[in-house]
Amino acid sequence: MKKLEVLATRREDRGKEKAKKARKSGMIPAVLYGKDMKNFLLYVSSKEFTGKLHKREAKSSIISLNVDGEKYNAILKEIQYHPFTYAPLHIDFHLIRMGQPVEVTVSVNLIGEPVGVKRGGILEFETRELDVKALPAKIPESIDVDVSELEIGYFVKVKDITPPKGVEILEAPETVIALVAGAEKEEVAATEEEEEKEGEEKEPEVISRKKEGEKE
Amino acid sequence: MLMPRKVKYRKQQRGRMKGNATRGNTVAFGDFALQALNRGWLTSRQIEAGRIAITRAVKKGGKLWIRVFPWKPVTKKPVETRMGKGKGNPEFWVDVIKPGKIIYELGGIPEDLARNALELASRKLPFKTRIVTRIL
Repeated sequence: MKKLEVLATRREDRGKEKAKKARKSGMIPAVLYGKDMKNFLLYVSSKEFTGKLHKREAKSSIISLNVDGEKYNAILKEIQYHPFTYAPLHIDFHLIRMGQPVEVTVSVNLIGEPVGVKRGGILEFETRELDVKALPAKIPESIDVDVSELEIGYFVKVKDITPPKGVEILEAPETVIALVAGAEKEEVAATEEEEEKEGEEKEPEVISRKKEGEKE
Repeated sequence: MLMPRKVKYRKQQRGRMKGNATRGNTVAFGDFALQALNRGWLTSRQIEAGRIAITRAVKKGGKLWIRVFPWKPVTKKPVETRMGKGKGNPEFWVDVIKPGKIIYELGGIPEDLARNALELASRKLPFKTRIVTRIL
C-alpha cells in the first residue's frame, strides 16, 4: 500500500462558471465524502494532480488529504476528464476508516513473455484493472499475474490468481485477464473476401416491413 | 464494407452533430488509438480504407479494434432529377463522429509501428485526428 500526501483547500464556490474560472487558474474542483460525515467541497492544484494523482498507482493508494491543516484519509473514487483534451475536470475523494475494508481498483501487472508469443501468437491483455476489497493497510499496489507459460489459445482467468493475504477479488471468477491468440490471417486473404462482398452489396433487411409482410 | 444487417427504417433525417463525444472517447482495448478532433460523417468506405492502411502497415502481429460503425443511411437523389417526388434512395452508410471519438485502436505491437500505421490511417479520414495512448 502506498500513501500519498495531497494538499487541498476548502471551496465555498459552487456552479460551473466558478469551476471554469478555477480550472483556468490552475485549481481543480474536488469533493470529499464518506460515511458519518458531511461532505465538503475542495480545490486541488493541478500541480498536485499531475505530480501525485495522475498516476496509475494513485487508484490503489491511500490519499492523506491535507485540507487547510486538517488531515483526512481517503481513496480516489473518480476523476472526470474532458472528452478529448483529457484535462482533469473534477476529482472525487472517498473518506475511509483505517479499520474498515474498502473497495478499490488495483492494476494488473503481467509478468514474463508467454511461450505462445515466442511461437507467433499475440498476447491480449483483456482486464487491466481489478476491483478488490481489503483493509486500507493491506491494499496491494498491483496484482502480479505470471503469463510466461501461456501457450497459443490459453488464457488466465481471475480464478487462477491467488490474491495476497487479506485481499478479496470482487471480479467474476470467469473473467479473462490475458490470453494468447493465434496470429491473424494474412491481409491478402482478407482483401479478396472484401472484393467478393463489395460486388454483392445489398440493402439491409427492414425489420418493420418484414413483420407487415408476415401479417399479410 | 461495414453496414447494418437489419434496420428498423430504411431512411433517416440528417440530424445535427453538436457537442463532444461523451462515450467511446478513451482507449479501452489496445495501447494506442486514433482520436477524432473535429466532427463529421465517417463513411463505411473511409473506415475500410483506414483499416486497410493499418493492416498493410502493421503486416504481422498486433490487434486492431474498430470503435465506430456506420449506422446511419444517407440518401441521394439520382442526377438530373427534378426536385420533389419524395426522398432519394439510400446510397451509403455513415457514422456521426464528434470530437473525442476513438476511431481505431491498436495493441500488441511496438509504439513506432503503431504510430506509423495510425498516421497512415488518419490520412484516409475526413477530419483532424491525433494519436492517443491510455490516460492511466
